[in-house]
Amino acid sequence: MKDILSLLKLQKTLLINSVRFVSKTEKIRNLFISFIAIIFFISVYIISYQVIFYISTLPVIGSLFTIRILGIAFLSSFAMLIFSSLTVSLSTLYNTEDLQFLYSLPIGHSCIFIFKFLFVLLYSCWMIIILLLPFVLAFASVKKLSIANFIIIIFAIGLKILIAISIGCLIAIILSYLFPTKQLKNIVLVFLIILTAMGYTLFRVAEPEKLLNVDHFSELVQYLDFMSKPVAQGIPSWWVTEVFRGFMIKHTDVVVVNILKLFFVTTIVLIVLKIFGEKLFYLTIFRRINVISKKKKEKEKKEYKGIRIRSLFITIFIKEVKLLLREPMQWVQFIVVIFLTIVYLFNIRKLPIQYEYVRITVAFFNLGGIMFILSAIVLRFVFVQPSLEYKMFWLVKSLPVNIKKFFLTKFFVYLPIVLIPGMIIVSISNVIIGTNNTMVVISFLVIFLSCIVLTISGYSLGILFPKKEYRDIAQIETSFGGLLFLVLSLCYIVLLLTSLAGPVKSYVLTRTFGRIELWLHILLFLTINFIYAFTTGYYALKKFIKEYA
Amino acid sequence: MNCIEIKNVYKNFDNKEVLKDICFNILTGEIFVLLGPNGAGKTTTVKIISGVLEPDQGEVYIFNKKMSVSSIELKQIIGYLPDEPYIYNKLTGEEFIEFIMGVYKKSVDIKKYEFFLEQFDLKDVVKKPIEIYSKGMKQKLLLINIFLREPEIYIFDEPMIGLDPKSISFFKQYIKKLSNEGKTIILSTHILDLAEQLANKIAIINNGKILLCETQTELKNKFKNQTLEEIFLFVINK
Repeated sequence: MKDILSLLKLQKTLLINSVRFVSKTEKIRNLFISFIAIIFFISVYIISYQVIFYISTLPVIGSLFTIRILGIAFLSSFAMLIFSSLTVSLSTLYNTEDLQFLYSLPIGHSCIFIFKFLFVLLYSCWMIIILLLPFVLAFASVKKLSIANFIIIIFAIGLKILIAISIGCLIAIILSYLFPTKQLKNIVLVFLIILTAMGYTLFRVAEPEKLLNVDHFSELVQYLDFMSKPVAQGIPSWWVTEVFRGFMIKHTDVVVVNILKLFFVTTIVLIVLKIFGEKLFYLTIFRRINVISKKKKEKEKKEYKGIRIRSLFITIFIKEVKLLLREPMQWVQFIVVIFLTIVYLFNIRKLPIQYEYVRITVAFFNLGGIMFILSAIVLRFVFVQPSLEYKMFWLVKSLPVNIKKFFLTKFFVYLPIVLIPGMIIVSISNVIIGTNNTMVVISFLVIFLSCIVLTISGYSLGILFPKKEYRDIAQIETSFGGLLFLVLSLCYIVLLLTSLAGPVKSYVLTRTFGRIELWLHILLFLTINFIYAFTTGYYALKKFIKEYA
Repeated sequence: MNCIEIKNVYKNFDNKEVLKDICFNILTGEIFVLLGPNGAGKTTTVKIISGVLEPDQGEVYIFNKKMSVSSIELKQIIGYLPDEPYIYNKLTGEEFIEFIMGVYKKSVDIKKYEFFLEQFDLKDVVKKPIEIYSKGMKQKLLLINIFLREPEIYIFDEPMIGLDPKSISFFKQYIKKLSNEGKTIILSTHILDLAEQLANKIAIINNGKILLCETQTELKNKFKNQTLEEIFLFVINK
């Protein structure tokens, strides 16, 4: 216990120092991120409050439906916690640099295991807590629960979190024992991401909104029966829902029984983790070391034939493509984007667009949707590049290459990654919407230009705000620069749509754009594009030359 | 003939003077060793010579041409090995060599390529991703890269870190051979034995200042046959 406290004290000092010894710029960044987090927290609270308030006022199904929503929210957060703990455990327990340091200290294995588990706990749940807390707070406010009740609910949620994370951690240890490969984390991550993306797509395609429509059920009784059924009864998430329900209907026995259930399962899971998990973890670590040191059979080697001298662009392009394809987290994100795009296109297909003016309006707003998808693609594939390459820039600096040319080459290498999906999505969505040729031409032009602008700004902001130290790509995406890129891109999309709104409105009403105004709007549209691309690009190139060159 | 001329170079980082009035010349074909304790300014000096970093004041001339970060022509004739060899982990050793040779627009001499792989024991791993390489293996891969390119000037920052005895021995022999062929070599190190065995000229740097810059013969005469370790400690403590 004393050892764990010493280790935690060390971590506390590290944490305090990471706040104490930061530059002014970093302080501003931290403040900005905190500001965004608070805004997010408040927004989730307000939206949740409005939705829950509206639903709970619905006649007959109101209270049933609120409990069902709560059950779904707790069940999905339970699943997310297990997934999150599984991936975090694989990196925190096995792949961290401090493992060797910890094992060189005169402290027991048990202490190291508990210390590591505490970090798994912290890293796995903070984001889900940020998401869940305002939602639960909104629920408690709508249902007017007392502070004491709310504290008990938080305690129940805490137990649920502990159960989920322990299960995830146990699964990670068992998987590491059964499949001792360095790539296990990547394999599990790829599998989970694809599973989640598929699950989400299937959920959307199943049209859950039909549940709100009683007409889809043959009888009202059948519908009410469906709504009153528990969401995954045997899973701890439902017990937390029951605690909530117990307070709502003022049945203390329901609360006590479910708290006891949660407490009992938490104890069992923690005991299993401490005895079984800890032992297996110990065995896995030392077996891994053996596995790594074993020499694999050498494959038959091809004779080296030398290289073909190519242009700088092709040389860099080949390198970038190889690096992209070999980073599993990069190409798996392609799959996620594909699934999200399918859902987006499905949503468009479901829109009531029988009339021409509606089709034009939808085609116009569709531009904003596509640009938002493109921003996500840029964030994942372009923005992260300077951070991924940051430590390799000594090489670029020492190469006999014109730094401006290198900067531009990088831009042309990344442009197709954004342009190709952009053109595909705009083509498919236009076919689905069935808009007229004028809008098709406009949408292609707008998306083509926005692909260029977003690629420039994404790469530029990646250079201006690189994340020098990171555990995985997700950390780069969620860094200050990543958030700033998303915020700026959102502003860019809104401004762009605003600049085009006038002529499109005129076109919807009169099928003409109005000459003088049209030129003004085109000028405004081009200026917005130019300002966003030029300012970010200019400062990035300046920094690229000054700092990287 | 002067190959490299460094004139009154100053460099600051975060308001801290890292280099103060650095001046020295290196002749063509010379093995020049920059000696100094940790944090003395060795890495910053070699980075400025390589064109990786710009000095705040002063100039660096290579074959009478001013060196800067944008001197593409001069970078063509320099082979630079950094002290921290971060390279693209997802490329294989062979692909990395191809990438660099591609940028330098040079073809690979297959015989030499295989000879170096043999000497540095990288034959078995060259087709594998760099992420499985140890620090020493990465260092060897970068050395092969530089040797294959056959530049006029070789700049090595702490080249021995992570190298095994066989590779160290080969490295020393090859450096001497290159020097005999008229190539200029700069070694930044704190290993005194290496300096004693290889150097024609030695410069000692401490707190960003060059304290001494002499040929080995001049040093021996000046310090009456004291060992390099004794000379180094004497100069640093002074």
